[in-house]
Amino acid sequence: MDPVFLGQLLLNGIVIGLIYGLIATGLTLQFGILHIVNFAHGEVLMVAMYAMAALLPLFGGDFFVAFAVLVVLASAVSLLAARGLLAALATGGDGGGIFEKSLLLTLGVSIVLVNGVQQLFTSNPQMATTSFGYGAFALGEIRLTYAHALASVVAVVTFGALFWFLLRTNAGRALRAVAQNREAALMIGLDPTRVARRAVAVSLVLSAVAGAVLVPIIVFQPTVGQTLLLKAFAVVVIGGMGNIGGAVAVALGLGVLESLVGGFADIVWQNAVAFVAMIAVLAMRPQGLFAAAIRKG
Amino acid sequence: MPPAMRSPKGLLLLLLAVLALAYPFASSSGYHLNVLTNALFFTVLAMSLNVIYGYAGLLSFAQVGFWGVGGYVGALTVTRLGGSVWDGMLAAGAVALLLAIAISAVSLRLSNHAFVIVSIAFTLLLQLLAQEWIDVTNGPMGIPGLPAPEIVLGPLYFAFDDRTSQYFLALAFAAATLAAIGLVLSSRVGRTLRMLKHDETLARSLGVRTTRWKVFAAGFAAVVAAMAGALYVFYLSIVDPTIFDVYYTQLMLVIVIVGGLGSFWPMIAAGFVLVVLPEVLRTSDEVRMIYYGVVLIAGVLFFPRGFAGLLAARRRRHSSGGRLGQPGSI
Amino acid sequence: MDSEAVIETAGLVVGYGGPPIVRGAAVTVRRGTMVTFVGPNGAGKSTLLRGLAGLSAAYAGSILYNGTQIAATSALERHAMGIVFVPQGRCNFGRMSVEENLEIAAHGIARAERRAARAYVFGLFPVLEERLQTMAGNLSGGEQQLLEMAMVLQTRPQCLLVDEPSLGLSPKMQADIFGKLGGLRDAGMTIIVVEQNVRAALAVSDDAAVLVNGEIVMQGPAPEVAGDPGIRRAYLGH
Repeated sequence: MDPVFLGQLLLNGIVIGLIYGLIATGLTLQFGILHIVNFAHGEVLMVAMYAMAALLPLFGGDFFVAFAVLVVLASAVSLLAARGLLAALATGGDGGGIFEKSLLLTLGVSIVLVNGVQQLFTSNPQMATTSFGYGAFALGEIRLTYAHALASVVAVVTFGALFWFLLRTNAGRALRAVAQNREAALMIGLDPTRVARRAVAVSLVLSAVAGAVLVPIIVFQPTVGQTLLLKAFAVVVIGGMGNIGGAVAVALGLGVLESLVGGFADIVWQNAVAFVAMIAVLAMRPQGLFAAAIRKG
Repeated sequence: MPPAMRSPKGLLLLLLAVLALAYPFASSSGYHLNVLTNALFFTVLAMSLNVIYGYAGLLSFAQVGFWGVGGYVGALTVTRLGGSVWDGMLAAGAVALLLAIAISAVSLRLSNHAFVIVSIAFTLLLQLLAQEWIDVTNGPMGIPGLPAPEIVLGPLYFAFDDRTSQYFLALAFAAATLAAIGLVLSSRVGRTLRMLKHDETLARSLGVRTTRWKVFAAGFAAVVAAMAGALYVFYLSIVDPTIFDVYYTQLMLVIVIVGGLGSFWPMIAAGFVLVVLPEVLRTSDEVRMIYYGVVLIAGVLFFPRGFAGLLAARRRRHSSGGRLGQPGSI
Repeated sequence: MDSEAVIETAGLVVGYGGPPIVRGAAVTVRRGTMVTFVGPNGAGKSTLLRGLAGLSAAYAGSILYNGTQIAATSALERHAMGIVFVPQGRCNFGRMSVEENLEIAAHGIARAERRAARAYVFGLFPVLEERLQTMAGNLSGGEQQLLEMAMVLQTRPQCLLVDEPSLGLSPKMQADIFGKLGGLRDAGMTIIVVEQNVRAALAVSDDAAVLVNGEIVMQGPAPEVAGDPGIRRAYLGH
């Protein structure tokens, strides 16, 4: 087997796995804390991609400036969106519970966003040019484009920031607390709605960041979020529905696995890997690969 | 007098049947017939979602997946295996049944939530396969030139190859399917499924094997959706990846929610209104999708019990009003 | 003894959204006293306690807290006013260390005062200081109960509500818990307890209220309730 080819596949897999991780950790946060599923999570990414493509020319193609502006915008919009979503989830309706309601509402939002963007920008594939163009690092014969390298660095830094937030800050601790035991959170006077709002906002920003770093890497359409959502759902289920560390590890594994399958088998099966892996894990270890080792409080 | 004519509901049904049968003779517009034929197919599709979601309480995004699988299996049975359209429909039902049992049995081991997520992933995957598994599906080009359904009985031969005959075929299929579903749902089976939705713990304590019933509901709903999908692609004469479009999911959900989860006649009425109305308004596809999206959000937020819920509330108001008017008559 | 009422309810009807479970309760809890709710299973003791904490809905009636009407306030608002509630069963963050549990429970305390709050609960429950790095989920049942009390006591609440503190604990641990509750009361805290172990609870309580079928059938000083022949027969086994 050609080691260069293999190395290239592994490297590509890690990069895409990191991006899956950014999307999946957001879904995991939402499910873990609120027990909701966000159908429009991929559309957040999609809108961020279109926004990034619109911002880039304004700053002469400078990725970093455009990215900084996008993150600021995304944070503001995410806070509002999180507020809106939680208010909507609390509105009327006795049927089905919050899980179903979240799916149906966000499906509606997803469709409005996809078709709204389609109406505005058509469904033609979009590309954006950035200041670093198609340049690449060469690691021996293995190539890593600047865009891929940047996406990886951003993803790793983002995970670092996320784990620091969750483990070391009071707000992050409150998030984990509500996810672990809602009643205990109430006992010590934490406001679960406020905590959930923060969790949703953080997870939307994660999705937007994933979108931004994908802009120089892939050609995109209004439906770009849907395919990525499939992968992210698989990651969430395999990782044990609600386990952040598990989601990151599974995302990396899935990225690498897909890349290898794509390299050695018919490309069709690359997209099926996620689903097959999910079904296999559900069949053999339904609680997910990373179910909590310590009994629940 | 036949029993159907003794109640207002029966009379209404009879009237509808006459209208449905007479319509093609009164109107020569192929466009109108096409809209009505679509309404028949989509109402059956929505009813399949109603079986699993409205009755058994399992929100499923796999129905459009089964509808599309039905379309592809039906088409391939005819084009690759040389079967008839009817063989294609049977094969579609069988494949969908197996797939439905597999994904529901596996995901329900964990939870209803896992089932929902797997159902979403299932549909997204099928859509990708339809686009990329070119050897089998012919990719984005789809499989065009599907033959019209035909009946050959000895010397008797009939092909459903024009709008009017296809409308009648769809009408017969929809009537038979909806009647079959109606019968199943009004039997003990329907009551058991409802119990799953309203109080699973109670059902289990009464000895109902809840997971098995959920798998049954998933399988039943999948067979209906797949057979409808199979017949639908022969009506279109082509199957391509757009058969998995989220458009159908949304349409189904809007019909079921606007009609009322777990309702029968209101849901059928909603099916017709929601398919015909956008045609009357003649909007672009994108704008129509946005309308549906807004209706879905508004329905979930403000009318979670749909049209059927409003009807029930009205009935309750009326009956309690009557009681108040006649003190001591209780 | 100071006889000023901290909590005073009248005609209080409580439930969980469905039919009422507590029907018209009138309870008075004086400052710095410990009151125990006793009664058969399903009598509505826990529901009444959760109603006072704001965790089950008050359908009707009033709850006065230091003379202010609080029946319509949320559990969080009541927490902020100094009414804290320790639910029955294990109610902590099992996958966090004891230290993290205490830290997060101190979220509402000014940074400068957290050290003092920590010292206060370590003074009450020295065992927690030894188990600081243990995962809360790996503590014994009794230690978890102490941890939960320590978590809420850091804020020095005015009124402590505890649901079944002795549930699943050894007799020695039960005695220990009631000893601690008695000590807190002696230090001026107002305490309301729901308890199956009626004898142990009444031994340290000032007052008791007996609930049957969602209604309070008897209320008075603990020794008097414990001495009532009907109560003795029903709950004390002689």
